[in-house]
Amino acid sequence: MTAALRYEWCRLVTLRSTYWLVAASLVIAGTLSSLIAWGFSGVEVLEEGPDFVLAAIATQGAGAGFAPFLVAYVMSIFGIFTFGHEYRHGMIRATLTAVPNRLAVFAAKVALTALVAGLTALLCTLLGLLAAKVFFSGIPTDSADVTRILGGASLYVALFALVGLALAAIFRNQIAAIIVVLLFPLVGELIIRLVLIIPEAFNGIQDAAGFLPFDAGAQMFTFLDLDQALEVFGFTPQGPLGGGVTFAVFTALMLALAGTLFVRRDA
Amino acid sequence: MGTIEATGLSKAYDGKLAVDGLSFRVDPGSVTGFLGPNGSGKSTTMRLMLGLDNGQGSTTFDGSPFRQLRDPMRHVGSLLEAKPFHPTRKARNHLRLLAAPNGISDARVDEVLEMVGLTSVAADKPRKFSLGMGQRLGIAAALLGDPHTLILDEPANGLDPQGIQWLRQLLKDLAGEGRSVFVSSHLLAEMALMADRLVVIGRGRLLASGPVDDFVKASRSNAIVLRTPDIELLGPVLGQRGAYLVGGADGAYVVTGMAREQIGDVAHEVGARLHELASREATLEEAFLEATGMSEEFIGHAGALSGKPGSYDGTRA
Repeated sequence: MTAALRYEWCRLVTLRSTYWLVAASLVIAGTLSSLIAWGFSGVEVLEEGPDFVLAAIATQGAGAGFAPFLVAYVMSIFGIFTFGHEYRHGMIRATLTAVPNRLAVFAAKVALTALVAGLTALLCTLLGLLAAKVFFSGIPTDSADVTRILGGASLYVALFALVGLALAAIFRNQIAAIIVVLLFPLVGELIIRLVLIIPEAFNGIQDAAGFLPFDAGAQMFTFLDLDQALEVFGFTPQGPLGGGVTFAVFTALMLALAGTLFVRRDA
Repeated sequence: MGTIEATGLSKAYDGKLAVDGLSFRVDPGSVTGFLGPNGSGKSTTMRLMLGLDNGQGSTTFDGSPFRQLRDPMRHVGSLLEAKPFHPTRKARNHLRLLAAPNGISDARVDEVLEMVGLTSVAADKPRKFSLGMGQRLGIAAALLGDPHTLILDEPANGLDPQGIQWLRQLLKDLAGEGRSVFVSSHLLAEMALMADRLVVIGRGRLLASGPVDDFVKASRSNAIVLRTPDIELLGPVLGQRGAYLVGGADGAYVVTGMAREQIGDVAHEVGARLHELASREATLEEAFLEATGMSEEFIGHAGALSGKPGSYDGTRA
């Protein structure tokens, strides 16, 4: 396992894309958080509640439910490249002759992808909190809500990147993985949600929409009043814990499929 | 050390066997050429040997399967395809990447870069490398762990004549140090110069394995060239005694099935004049084409010549 980790770490640090994807995440987070904080700065904070405002700023709008979490999408590309590059450039055979233990190779990729994506998200969210501090000097940033924003956002991005990794390993094609990772959360889940809330057809099971994995995962760092959510979306989302568990289980299933295929298939 | 033992290797794609019960052995201290027509299963065999493809059978390196080797690149170095690297990862970093999990030092990375002549482009991205330079980087990766066994799939691909000569000397030297070198190539003339032993396959099956000399000697293309103005006297007698004659356009006859000395004796016996009586050795290419069942074209060509006026068609008795 240490051999596989050494390989994977060396692979990441000798690749330009690692640096520009992390940098892009930080630039996006810093810029958008500042813009949102600046836009909010005229608003009376306590009307909306400081947690809502903080979540909105620190996650570039995602935590308030009005934007996709861009950092997660950027880091999903990072996760996709973890396997995508292996197949795109015929590296996989060189990889497996350097480290023949496939399970170790897979586990090392999962561990380091989660680590880098999670840490990047943590830095991005801290950057967002800093922007909130700059524009709202009096806003409290030591509450349990802040911990939830930091932890929830980091975990969400780490899992999101792992879904990307799993898709690239399953398809062995990074373009296909990128298309799915961009389209399913943004368009696919939206369409399913819209169909599910047709009252005549799916009466009583509207709340199943709360189990749509990417949407469920986002509840980890989203601060929306549940009644308000029902009004806006037509169903009651799960809470942060239930949503997080749903997304984690979904990610685990994807990884299990990807790992099984990786171990069994010809390289 | 470095004995490779392949036993019962088989691999099917969509129910069709690409490799069919292949067993062979490669001993240390030799360059063993791996020959077979395109699509005969050479690359699949090499991938099976390294546990990259799933199939039946087993391959051991000094008794252990590849997947169970600790620091595998220190035991077995391999080159499986052209340009197996990320186009923007610098050449030196590519080698450091492979070295990292195998406990190989950066000093060794620089050493192999020097060996393959890539020191000056070590900090360059291989995106713009020529096929030959890419091949040298692949060979550097194979040599990285100073392994006792090398498995190289078409390493001469893309190399210029100097490069091919360099590779030949390198592989011979490595074998001379007691390592096993298992190398496939479609350049038969090159293989004849480089290999001590051969493993020949066709349609995924073993056709021959052993020393190159034995393989070439077994070819039917080994023959005696005979030139005589008295073919009417000599021809029928040679035919009766088991020789097979094919006439050439320039008045020469190619005789198989009888030793040169015997032909001379028969000529003396029937009173035929001999203007030429010489042995003609088969080339590795002829032996290979014959062994792999691709010799029909060659036979057809020779047969056509024998139909010319004044020629004599002998038959086996």
